[in-house]
Amino acid sequence: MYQYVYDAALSDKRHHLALTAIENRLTDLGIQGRIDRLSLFKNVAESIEEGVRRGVTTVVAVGNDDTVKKVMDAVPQFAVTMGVIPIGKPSKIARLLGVPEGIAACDVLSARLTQTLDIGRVNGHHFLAALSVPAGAVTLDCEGQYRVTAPPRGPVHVCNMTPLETLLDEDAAPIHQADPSDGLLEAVIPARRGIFRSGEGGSKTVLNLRRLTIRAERPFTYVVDGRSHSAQRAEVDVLPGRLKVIVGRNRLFRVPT
Amino acid sequence: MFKPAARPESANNDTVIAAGVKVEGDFTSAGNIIIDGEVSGTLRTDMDLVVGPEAKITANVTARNARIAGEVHGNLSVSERAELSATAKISGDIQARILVMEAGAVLNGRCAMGAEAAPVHIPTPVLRNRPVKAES
Repeated sequence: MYQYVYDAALSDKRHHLALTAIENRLTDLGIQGRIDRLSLFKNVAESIEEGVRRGVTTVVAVGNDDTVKKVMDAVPQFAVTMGVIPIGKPSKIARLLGVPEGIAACDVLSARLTQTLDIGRVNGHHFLAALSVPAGAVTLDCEGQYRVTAPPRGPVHVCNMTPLETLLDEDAAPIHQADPSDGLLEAVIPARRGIFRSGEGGSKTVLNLRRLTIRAERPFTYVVDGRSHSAQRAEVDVLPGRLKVIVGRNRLFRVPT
Repeated sequence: MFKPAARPESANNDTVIAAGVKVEGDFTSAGNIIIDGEVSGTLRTDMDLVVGPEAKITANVTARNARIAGEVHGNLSVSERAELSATAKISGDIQARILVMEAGAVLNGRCAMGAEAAPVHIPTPVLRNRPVKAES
């Protein structure tokens, strides 16, 4: 049984036609189901829990990246598969998963090609692609055993896959491609660049980790799957194989077989 | 014997410490480790270790194979083959089944080789660093 979690913004009239077309297509494909509309006072986890009690096995986020993140924060605690129907911008996570916008996403759902992936967690929130600290003198306490001091003002990335910003930008050089099914996160510190050197200054630092703490003397900004947060301390770990997700053929990551 | 281009390409599960990055504490990895930065504490891998010419290691080191071109202050315990290139500077004891030294390599310490070589004593905890404790 399917449960569709609608973003609050989809109650706007401009989405009415698109939603009607999607609902008709889902009915044609025989995968219609329970519909929950998000609102300010509605808890996503409670909605999914209620759905699971009623026999839901697949939860589909209908909306943009924020909707997907809300659903992704709740889904790992239940034995359900997650799907996405992207409507509205940004929809980078759907692109990462190879799910096209609008009505075409229904066919991807129906094909039900699933993959089990690791999921990252930072300060209690889940992420699929990567966490990036764009700049700031941060220290990484890794596995509770050793401490890594990154060069000042340089970026630090913690990748489950690769940062969305560079993955979807054809002009940007790929920072790193991590395996999202190996049970590990990869902390990446890009190579230093000299003042008079425009290219890579050498190899990048890569650490395979299960948990780490990013800390700094002052609050720093970090970007999680495209969204900015600020903290003085970020507790990061990986939940191996905790997300079963429906993907499209054009997904932008590869899991080794 | 020593080919500068023979440095392995880092595979997906390799750990790399690039120049400008400092690591303190008990640094352990199940895969290969490539170091061009600074490490202090202990350094241990079940696989191979490559220490670049700019690397500075103040740690006792355990590895299966080791290729060293930088500075190491501490004891080396290598179960298979240890290679010291011309720029290597070792201040500590080495135990290895096979030891290869290029002309110019500096070794200040005792050396034990062969299958029956007595293992180098590696005291723990080591040197000046302890495992990192989370600060509140």
